[in-house]
Amino acid sequence: MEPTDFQSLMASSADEVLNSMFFVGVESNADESAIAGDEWMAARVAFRGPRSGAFGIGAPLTTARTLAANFLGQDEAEIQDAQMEEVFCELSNMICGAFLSRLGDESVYDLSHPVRDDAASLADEGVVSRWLQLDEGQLRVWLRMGPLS
Amino acid sequence: MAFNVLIIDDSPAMRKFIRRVLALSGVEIGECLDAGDGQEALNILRANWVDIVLTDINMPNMNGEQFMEKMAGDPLLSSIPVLVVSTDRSDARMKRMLGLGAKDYLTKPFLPEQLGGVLGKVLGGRAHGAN
Repeated sequence: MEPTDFQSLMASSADEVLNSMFFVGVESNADESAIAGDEWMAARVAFRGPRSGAFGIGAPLTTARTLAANFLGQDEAEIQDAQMEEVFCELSNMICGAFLSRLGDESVYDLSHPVRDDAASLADEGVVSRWLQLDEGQLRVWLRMGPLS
Repeated sequence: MAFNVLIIDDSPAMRKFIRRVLALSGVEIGECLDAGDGQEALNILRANWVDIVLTDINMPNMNGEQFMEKMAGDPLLSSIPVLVVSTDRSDARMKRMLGLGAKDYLTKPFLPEQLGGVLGKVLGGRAHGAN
């Protein structure tokens, strides 16, 4: 499977999750240069099965807050930082699950507990990633295949 | 008839989402309890009347599979219907959970109306107003 295939599967997985439970659509690829410099939230989950690796998401804080508000059914002003983190971790977990189901091997994967990530890890070598433009904000999805350190 | 529900998920955000969806499902919900893992859920079940359990699989301390095994082995709890709500879509996992006694299996992400539909199916004619 080529990196572009993974990118496409990551995008369709994100679209499914965001549409059904966050009430947000994925419009297109985002312009990464327009996002540089924003404050971030990032989360990742490790998976182990026929393939092993890590899957993560990142977004400007403004996007993360909007997504948390949509998911919890609250106003953005009411969203606490801890809630935003919980929702973002859960979002990474669900997109990862949707992605793994698209790999087509019908295998059982074990997923780690999703955790808030250091945004610096987004620059890791060997990462396949894609920026997505949402109805409201932007989201980066990334994948690193291979044994976890 | 109102149904008492127990939601088991290690994500507080997901528990809150499910509560919100339940309130909109058309099924009359009585008490809505929640737990962050299987062990906490067993303690709640032994102290409260619960009509249906919604459980995740991947959780710390006691996961959903271990929880189902414990429930199946307890005559006081084994008749309570369990609906699995998980990100895992593999046939092998679904079969394993259904084999452990789960009444149905809903994968995340799900549309709010899907949860109402599955609840109505599991609770049968008792769930007035369910889809």
